[in-house]
Amino acid sequence: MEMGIGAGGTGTAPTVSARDFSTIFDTYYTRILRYLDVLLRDPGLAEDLTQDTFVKAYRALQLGTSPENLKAWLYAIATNTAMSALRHRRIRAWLPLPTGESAGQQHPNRDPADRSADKDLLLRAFARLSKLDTACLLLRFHQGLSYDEIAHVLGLSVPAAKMRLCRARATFREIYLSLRSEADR
Amino acid sequence: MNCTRVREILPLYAENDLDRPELDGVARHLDDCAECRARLELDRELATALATLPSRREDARVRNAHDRTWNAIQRHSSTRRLRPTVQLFRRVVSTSLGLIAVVLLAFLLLTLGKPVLDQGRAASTAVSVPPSRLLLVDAGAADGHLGVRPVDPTTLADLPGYASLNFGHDYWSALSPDGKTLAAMVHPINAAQSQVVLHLVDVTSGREVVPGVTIDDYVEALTFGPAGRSLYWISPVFHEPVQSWPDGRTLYRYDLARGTLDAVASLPAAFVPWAARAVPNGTLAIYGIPTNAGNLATDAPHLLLLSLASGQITANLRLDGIKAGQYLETDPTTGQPSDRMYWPGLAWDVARQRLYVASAETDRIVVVNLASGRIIRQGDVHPAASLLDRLLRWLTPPAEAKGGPSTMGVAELSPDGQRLYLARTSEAQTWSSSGLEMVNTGDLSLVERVDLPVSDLALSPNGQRLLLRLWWPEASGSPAHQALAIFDAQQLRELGRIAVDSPFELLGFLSDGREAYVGRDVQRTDRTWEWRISVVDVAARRIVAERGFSVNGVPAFVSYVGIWRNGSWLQGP
Repeated sequence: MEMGIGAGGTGTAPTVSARDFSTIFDTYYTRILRYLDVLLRDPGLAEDLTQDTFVKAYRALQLGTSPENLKAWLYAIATNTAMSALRHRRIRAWLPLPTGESAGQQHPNRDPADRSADKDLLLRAFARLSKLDTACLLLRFHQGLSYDEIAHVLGLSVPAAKMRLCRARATFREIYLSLRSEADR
Repeated sequence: MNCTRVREILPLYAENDLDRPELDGVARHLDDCAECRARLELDRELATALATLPSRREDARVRNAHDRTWNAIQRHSSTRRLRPTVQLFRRVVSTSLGLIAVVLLAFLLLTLGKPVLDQGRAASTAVSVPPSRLLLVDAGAADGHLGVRPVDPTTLADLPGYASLNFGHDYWSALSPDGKTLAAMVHPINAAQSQVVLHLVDVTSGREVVPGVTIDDYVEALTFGPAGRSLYWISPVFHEPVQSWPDGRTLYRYDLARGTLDAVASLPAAFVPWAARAVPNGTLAIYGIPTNAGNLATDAPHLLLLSLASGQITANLRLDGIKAGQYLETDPTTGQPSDRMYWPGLAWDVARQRLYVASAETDRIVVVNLASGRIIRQGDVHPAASLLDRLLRWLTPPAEAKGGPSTMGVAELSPDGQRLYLARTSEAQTWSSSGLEMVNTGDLSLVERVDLPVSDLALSPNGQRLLLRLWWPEASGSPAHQALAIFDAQQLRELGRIAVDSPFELLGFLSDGREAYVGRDVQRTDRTWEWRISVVDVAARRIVAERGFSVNGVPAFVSYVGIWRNGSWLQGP
């Protein structure tokens, strides 16, 4: 079954001009790059794949593709490009991003009673989550996509996308909890 | 409603996405259950924390990346941009005609004096029994799982009568020494935790056994023991409380006959294993890189030798003069720190207990004896003709690390262990290739060099044929293009060349060396792409079959079992 790249399209619209694409690029470049930065945790690879994403988008738009939801369509290309590249080129280890607070510090005075989400633990939990589940969580909460857009990105129905995200959140929470209890011991 | 069910659907409750009976059921449960209430609160906290998760990249680096990408789009508005993996191999021809003439002259003179290897000793003693089948692992299923099935190696058509096996959303794999059993550590789709499950596949019958071995973490360096009776892998130990960088790694052994699992040894904390081979004398050789929690290399790569009987590390060798892994270096064009990867070429000769490590950015080669744990030989590849060759090398200096994404070496060893084929590529401000070099492993002398823009190479199992991936970058008036060259591996004589219409990856050879495979992204319709595998008839020097794979219009991942590449029968992901 041919589903197109996530969001689908009519394919009959006039091609996008360089100026239009420049606007699209400026609007979405940083968002896609930051999404892939967190998903891949490899700045060089994230940059390469962001470039791949926009080159694919540019060529498709030049050929007359007219996605119904441009944002979801771009995220679909980025997500699929990342999943494909990860499988081709296995990342050796999933690494924590040094966060602003923790880089250079080791939380020496962390209050054990402080129950607000710890970003280091968050990133550790990501390391144990599947990449697709990580992508789901990032698309929803880091990038602020709607269920409808996430469904487009994942090529699922809206109820199936909701269910997928629900499972990802529940899994993520349980991993986080187990890591937190380890950290508290 | 019990806690298990409530915890599964709490995120839907938090988003008010449940139907009325379930909503009421969860609400009633939450009234009585403090633990589930705490989880609901945590779901909300995690959502907030995810929204503010930072990217490591500074704004200045975002702007640089933005500008580079925009320039790339403009450059490639009429030609396809390379896949990132292929992109590593771009080359810029910037030599003048005069320089080319001098180099050619010097090269011709050099080749007159080249030593000749004893080709009569070319035997395939290092090649074990090959697998009889080609298995494809492809991500084409509706729920995204990887399906594994045997295909005809010449036509790539599915073989009838075999059910597709489910390899989850990711896997690691190893092939037994007799080529009959594929061991795969599979990440199941929708597993409750980040678990991997061992699957054992009979390659001939296509049937699998799942012996009930589950690991609650990722797996590295999966390999069979020398006799194929045990399976070994390395898993990280996560117990450092703040950072997720593993605090150590453990080597595990699974005895296939007894069905027992035990921990064999602990590995140094900062040592990240990249490749492992079981040596016939009962040693496991593990090549790895000392790495810090920021994923940066902190030292030269090391080779650990570990006794499988005692679990003791018998040698820990520092491979001096070799740069490997990720380094943060200053990009000369922007003055900003930039990540750069170094991939030395590795050629394992397990039968003769040797490992050759070829530097990606210099001429350095280190040869290690895998049994004694000693460095047998180390030094620079040195030319046979001294004066002229020095002139040649002065005119065409090897690629140097000057910032940029990567520096990569590829090394393949002839089955008789006498010849090492090397290609080094560097992408800094420009792309460069060392060409193809054939090195005598006895004294590390350069036997012959072919001045082509080689970006990758693969040697057939019998050592008779070489495939070279050639890449010419965009030049004024001509777009970038690429070709597959087929060489006589002993004479280094070109037998033929196949033009390929888009950047491709060399996948390797089938067991008898008659078929070889390449893969590439192909635009199928105006907005869909596929990953297309082509079968090359090596003798006829033409593509005889192709098959494309895609999911939702983007190229699907395909892996292979039964393709010979880099001294191994498995071409993993």
